[in-house]
Amino acid sequence: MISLSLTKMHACKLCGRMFRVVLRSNRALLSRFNGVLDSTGRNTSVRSCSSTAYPSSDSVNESGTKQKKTSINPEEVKKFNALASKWWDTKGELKGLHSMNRLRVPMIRDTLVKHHSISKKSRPLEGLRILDVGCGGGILSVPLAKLGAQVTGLDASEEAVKAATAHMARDPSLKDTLTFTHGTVEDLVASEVRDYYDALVASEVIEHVDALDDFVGSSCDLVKPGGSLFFTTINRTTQSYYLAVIAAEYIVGVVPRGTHNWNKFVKPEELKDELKANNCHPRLIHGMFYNPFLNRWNWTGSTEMNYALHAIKEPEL
Amino acid sequence: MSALFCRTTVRAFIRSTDVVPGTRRLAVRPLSSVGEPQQSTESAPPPPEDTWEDVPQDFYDIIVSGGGMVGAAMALALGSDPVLLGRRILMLDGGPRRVLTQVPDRFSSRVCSLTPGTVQLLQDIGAWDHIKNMRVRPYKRMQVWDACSDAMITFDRDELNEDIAHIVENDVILSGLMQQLDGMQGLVDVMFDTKVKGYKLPSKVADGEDSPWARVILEDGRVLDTRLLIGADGPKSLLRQTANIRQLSWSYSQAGVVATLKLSEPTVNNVAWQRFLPTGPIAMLPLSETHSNLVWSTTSEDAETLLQMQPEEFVEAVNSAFWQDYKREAAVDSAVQTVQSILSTISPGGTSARQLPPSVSDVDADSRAMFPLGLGHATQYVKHRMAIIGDAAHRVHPMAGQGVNLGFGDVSCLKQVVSDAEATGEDIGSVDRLLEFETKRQQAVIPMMAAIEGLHRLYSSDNPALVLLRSVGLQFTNAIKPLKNEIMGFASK
Ligand SMILES: Cc1cc2nc3c(=O)[nH]c(=O)nc-3n(C[C@H](O)[C@H](O)[C@H](O)COP(=O)(O)OP(=O)(O)OC[C@H]3O[C@@H](n4cnc5c(N)ncnc54)[C@H](O)[C@@H]3O)c2cc1C
Ligand SMILES: C[S@@+](CC[C@H](N)C(=O)[O-])C[C@H]1O[C@@H](n2cnc3c(N)ncnc32)[C@H](O)[C@@H]1O
Repeated sequence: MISLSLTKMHACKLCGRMFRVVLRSNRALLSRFNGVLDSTGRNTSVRSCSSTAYPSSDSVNESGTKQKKTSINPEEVKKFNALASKWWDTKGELKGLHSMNRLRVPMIRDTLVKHHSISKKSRPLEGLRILDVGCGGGILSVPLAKLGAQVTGLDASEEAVKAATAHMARDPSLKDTLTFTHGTVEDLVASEVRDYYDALVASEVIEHVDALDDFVGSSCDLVKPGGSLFFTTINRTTQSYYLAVIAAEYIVGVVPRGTHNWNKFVKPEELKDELKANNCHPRLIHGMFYNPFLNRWNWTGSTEMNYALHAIKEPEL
Repeated sequence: MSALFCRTTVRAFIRSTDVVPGTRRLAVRPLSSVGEPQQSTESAPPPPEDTWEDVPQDFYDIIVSGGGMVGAAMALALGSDPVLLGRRILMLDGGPRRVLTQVPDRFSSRVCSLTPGTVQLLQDIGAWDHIKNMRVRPYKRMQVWDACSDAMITFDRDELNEDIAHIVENDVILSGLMQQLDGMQGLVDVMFDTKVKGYKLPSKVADGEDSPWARVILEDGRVLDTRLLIGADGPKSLLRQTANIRQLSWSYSQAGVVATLKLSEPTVNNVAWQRFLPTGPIAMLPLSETHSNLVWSTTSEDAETLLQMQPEEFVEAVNSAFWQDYKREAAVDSAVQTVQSILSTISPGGTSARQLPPSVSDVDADSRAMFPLGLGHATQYVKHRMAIIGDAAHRVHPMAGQGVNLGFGDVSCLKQVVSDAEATGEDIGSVDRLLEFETKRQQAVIPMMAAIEGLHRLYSSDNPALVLLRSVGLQFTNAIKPLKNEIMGFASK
């Protein structure tokens, strides 16, 4: 088997900081991505909520209704497939996501506690259903489940879902509150899930998706009226552009420059507009600042780099 | 250095009555020069291979191993935290449940001086009321003076209106903690007479490990797994050894003698007295209007002699240790007088009048005991999925009475770190989080140990230069209120 190894600058997300992702892409992985079932027959409890192949563009199914575009960007998902073993290394490439928990978990917890007038201090999110879209290895899903919420982690990368499932299986306290599923928001909508979750979280995900409008549309469909949506992502600004370019040339000096990813970064106004178009009202937007030397996140007034956004779906009258 | 002297686990003591005259009764390490650091040579006992494979019988979120004063307070602090409600918490101890059904008429000679910080913690975890209802003795003033000069220092709070610390018998503290634990059924599981045979600890990167949890193997063969293992298993901590955490230890060729003293006549008895003799500090701590506790640190030979004396002889020795004049240097005396007159000009009223301790008429039978003095400090307090607290992490010279207060300080700090981690859904056993506890506590413990060590060296001498230094130091410290408050605050951390 030919195994080609390419080093790629992974600009953006994860932490708003550039870092290298070594992509070890081999045929098995590619073919798996293209929809060939895992032939090893390994027993994983990964549920798949759709068939394995995703349509690559608009397509018309047998009954003639127009399907939504897929939100999957194959290049992006491939990167995350290759990261499988890295998710739970708190000092590794994804440490920025681990340290971001110190900011985003309290934000989600406190917003929900206030919104649902919760008074209990232990497992405060008990009874709430949360969908963690683009959950990766479950870095954010696990703490939310530990806080008592019924969490479903959803990800387009099968390898990420396997890593998340394997990690979760070790902890007896999670087996009743946490499940991981391979798929996308549009798959869930297609399987008739609607108005179901008390909250949806998509943290460091939207800068990796295609067809943002449909992605946000499906996300909004999945949330109950009056429910919450939380996003964290990176802004498309000159600052983030320079960081992308400089980091790409300095640190890696190889072809795929951060600029490619930079084009996928999302401005707060764009996200807000998509939400409003789907009856969801942005409530709060907060800048986030990452210090790579301390591996620490802080809230900041400026949304020029990373930001977090909370929106509420229009309650039923 | 406010609160003094707390003494310790019953087992650590050798009672005078247990001793066959003429035999060597004490494991006082015959030691080289005072304070020479010695790497202890403890090493982990090899794990009993056959048991490691065992399947765990139970899983706990937190196991506190060791139910002495510090372990019991830890279990209570965790069990009464609303954030941790519903978490499974276990405290286990190799000994029996030690609870007093009634307070004995006689005072135990093992007592602790509890600082306001400790009393606050005991209130927060609900044990203080039990303790207070048994027997405690607050005191309002502490006087420390030098046998080799007229220098002295007094500590008090708010012109004697507030207590600076409480003297409480160890049995009473432990009993109060046990009584409170009794009411925590469903919140904290408790196992007595349950000795730990060994521990197994996971390495940091959990995925791919045999077991990601810390494992406790009991002597009866049971195996328990836990997310966070807290070792409160005392100065010889098996957990510390198993984790391969090195311990720096010092041994002074000194010993502590304790006893319950009867006073010649009843007094208000609300002052703690400590006098620095060339052989070490002697202290008298109030227990009631008629009784005080003695803590006398001295050479091992003197301690042996004190233990064997007839009661009248012993009483005589105690009285003269507090009253007797020691060798004085004219130069030191005149320096002290000069400083005194300067101080009273620049800070009139800043130095309070010297008082004299009550005289002693008798010693309670069987109350005399002695123990070796030493100091030990673990180089690390945490590893992945484990932390050590109390004497397992640090043991200090009893002179400062900080032993148990430092342990209770660990309890408050670790509880907060665990609670904060739980409140954000984090892994409470993750070393990343536990390191916060280590950093915070070492910032409090290390300066304290250094200060105690420094004082010990400074005072175990009648070298005129050192006497001058400490005398003038005491005088200045005594005259300067902010500095004194600083010292008192420091001692209650
Ligand atoms: C000789 C000596 C003198 C001291 N003098 C003073 C003083 O004057 N002033 C002062 O403030 N402090 C003093 N201290 C310290 C003070 O006694 C301690 O700080 C205090 O007892 C709290 O200790 P701890 O709870 O951490 O440990 P300990 O009281 O030692 O408790 C440890 C507990 O762990 C249990 N345990 C140990 N191993 C196992 C096992 N394998 N399985 C199950 N259970 C186990 C034991 O049964 C015990 O109950 C002294 C200590 C010593 C040793
Ligand atoms: C940077 S990771 C974030 C992981 C996780 N949310 C966290 O913060 O720890 C982005 C994740 O989004 C997933 N992803 C990308 N496109 C997706 C899509 N269209 N639908 C679902 N998941 C997607 C990737 O597979 C990857 O695991």
